[in-house]
Amino acid sequence: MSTIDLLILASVVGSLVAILVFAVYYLTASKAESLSLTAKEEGYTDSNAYWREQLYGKPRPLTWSIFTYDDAKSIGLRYIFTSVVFLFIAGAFGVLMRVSLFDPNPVIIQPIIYNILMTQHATLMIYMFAIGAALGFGYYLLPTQLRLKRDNMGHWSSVAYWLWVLGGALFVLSRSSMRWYLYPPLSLQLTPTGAGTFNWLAIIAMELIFIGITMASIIVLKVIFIDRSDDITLSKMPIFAWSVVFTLIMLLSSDEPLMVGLGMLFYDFFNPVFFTGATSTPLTFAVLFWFWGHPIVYIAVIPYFGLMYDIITRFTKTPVYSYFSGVFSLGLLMILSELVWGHHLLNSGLGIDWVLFFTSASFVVVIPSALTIFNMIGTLWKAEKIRLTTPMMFVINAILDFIIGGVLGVMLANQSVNEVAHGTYFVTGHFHFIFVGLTLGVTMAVFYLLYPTFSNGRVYDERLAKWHLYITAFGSLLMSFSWTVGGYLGMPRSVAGYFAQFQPYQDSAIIGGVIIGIGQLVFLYNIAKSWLAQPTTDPYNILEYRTETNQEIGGGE
Amino acid sequence: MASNKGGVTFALIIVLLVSVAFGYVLTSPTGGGLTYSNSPTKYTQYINLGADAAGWEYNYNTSDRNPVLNVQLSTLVYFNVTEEDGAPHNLYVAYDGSYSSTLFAKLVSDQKNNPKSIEGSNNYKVLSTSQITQTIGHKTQGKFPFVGSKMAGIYTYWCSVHYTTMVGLLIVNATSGSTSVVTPNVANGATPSHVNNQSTYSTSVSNVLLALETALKTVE
Repeated sequence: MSTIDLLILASVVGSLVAILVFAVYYLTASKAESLSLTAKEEGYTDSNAYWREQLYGKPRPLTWSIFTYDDAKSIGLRYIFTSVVFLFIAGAFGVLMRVSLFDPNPVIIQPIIYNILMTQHATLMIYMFAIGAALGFGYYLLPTQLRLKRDNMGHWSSVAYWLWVLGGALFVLSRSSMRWYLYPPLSLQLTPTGAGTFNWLAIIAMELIFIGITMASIIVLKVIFIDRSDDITLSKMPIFAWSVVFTLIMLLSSDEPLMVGLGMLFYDFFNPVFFTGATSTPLTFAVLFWFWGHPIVYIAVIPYFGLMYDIITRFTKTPVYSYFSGVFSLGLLMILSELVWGHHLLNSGLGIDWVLFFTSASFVVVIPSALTIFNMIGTLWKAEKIRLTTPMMFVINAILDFIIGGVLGVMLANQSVNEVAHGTYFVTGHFHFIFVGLTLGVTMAVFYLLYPTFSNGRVYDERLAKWHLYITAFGSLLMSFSWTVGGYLGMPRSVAGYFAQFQPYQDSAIIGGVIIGIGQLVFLYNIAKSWLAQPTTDPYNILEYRTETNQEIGGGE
Repeated sequence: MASNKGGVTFALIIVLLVSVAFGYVLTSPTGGGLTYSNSPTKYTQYINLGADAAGWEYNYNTSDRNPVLNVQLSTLVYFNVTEEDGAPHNLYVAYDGSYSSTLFAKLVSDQKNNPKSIEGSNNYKVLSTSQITQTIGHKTQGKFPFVGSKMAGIYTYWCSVHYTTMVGLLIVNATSGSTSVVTPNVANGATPSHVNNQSTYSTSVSNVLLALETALKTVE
């Protein structure tokens, strides 16, 4: 392309972007003006406060206005739908990665592209999907579940949301291939064969994401502890609220080391003194990372445990088998998750004393996890009748997948097993059982439950939703199981190729991955198709409303 | 979005964003970088460098600064680097292009002023700052195999901490039949030949060539 062509193209693209930005600015500015005029007529000086009060407690369907209002439910909708968008982007990357492993040699896509896809898949799934959906459900469900007294930090929530979205977008733009660990010295190599030419942008993007989720976490904790209705005592909160409390305390107490570590990493681009200098080692960064990196994988699980409890009580019409042990085990998970970070570094030379500590501590995690699962099974056991709707079946599938993935995780945290299984697809299989089965499954369950509210009284196609469930559950099982078996035989993970002896495991995992992808397309089709119909029901859902009865059922007995 | 089209709009947004992200990521630059190749090499060569902030020294504690290093294609080069001044150093190698007099001239004239302009991002880190510890006299070794059909040409080596002073050229010669303009043809690939052209560095290409030829004769 000649320089003149490039200039013409740049001017055309630049003009189109400018027109688009101006249009968006014009629409939001005129909308904000009309909103503030209405508020002024009602005697309010702060139009946002007026609209927050007007929207409070009402079912909030999805409209473009979620970007102009900043009440908690609008923020929640922004988080939920943005995280679903990122789920599809990251999921598409994941499916492409699978398909590219059709041949043992990297002939379909180049290894550099594979590394980029892998980094983007992992980072977007964790930071933009799992955390985003958890925060979104917190913002969306808690105001009605806890009958808030006030809703007054919308501006801050909005800023937090935009920082988070900006971080996610910049991370995609950076085309980083440093993996989600961000380990130096790889992350410091600004080359296509290293971490990507624009990896410095990825570091900034991560820092933005962190600032966003930290702000949002503080606000949600404030909502739960300070703003909830006076008649809902702590012991009457739904378990979902408790799970959000534990998750966010965990997030706030462990993300600072990595935020500082990211800042130091950024300095290292200019003069490597912190992690690759003579007086330090890259292991320093690894420790800073995993001090946050282990809690974050629980952040993708604990809020979803809370949602599972809530969904189970709704569809069995039975109180939780033991409310106290449910809350207690989630709290115990929070504490233990801060202590077991070293089991990600068992083979990094921490020394046998540390390794023994982390192996034992990881085994103790079984106790709260098993308490949680037995509590759920106990609730199901006591129920006279279980309504096997799509959300309920997603939850049951999540319990099954969590048991398999959890047992694999405990095996993996054992040093003797870890020595042979680390760096293999065994690890990938372990966490995909949990992330696909539990995190994705429960998100979809809640999405279906809230669909009448999102769509202002429309109902989703039950048959398609069931197919979505069956396809996702089967694909997840096939993919993760093939990985687990192949990994135990030594199939290395995170590489663009593999030895031909592992062909059967890779091929079945490819089939599984593609099946999961097809399942999500069914979901998307269901959403689009069902929305085209006229509203046939009221926009209330059982997860948010009828909170009085749900308190009796879900809370302390 | 509140109307009947809400779901369709959402699905279209997802499809659009997924395609944009796909196109963006799949068109990432993949070539150009120096990659470490495990292909077998024919020769082995040891190059001893002293890491001093004033310039790379050929052998330990000499005044022979920033030498032009000659290497024959298909050679596994071991860089033996000795810390000399206690400052942090590292060693990068980057490919500048095949032999051509204009590029070579540009390299020689611009290098001191603006090494970053020619390094680009296609470099390989032979030794990191932590490997070359800041203990004076500490000797460490890094290696890079110049093997492959496209590896002949002119390379820059430098220290990213002191890139204005510690920067030099490394020339990889094709084995035979090269029609290139600058071809310091080293007959014996196993022998490290070098030219100390500190004085001729900023003058002209011809001086460099002259110096190269002199050196070659000495070697032969």
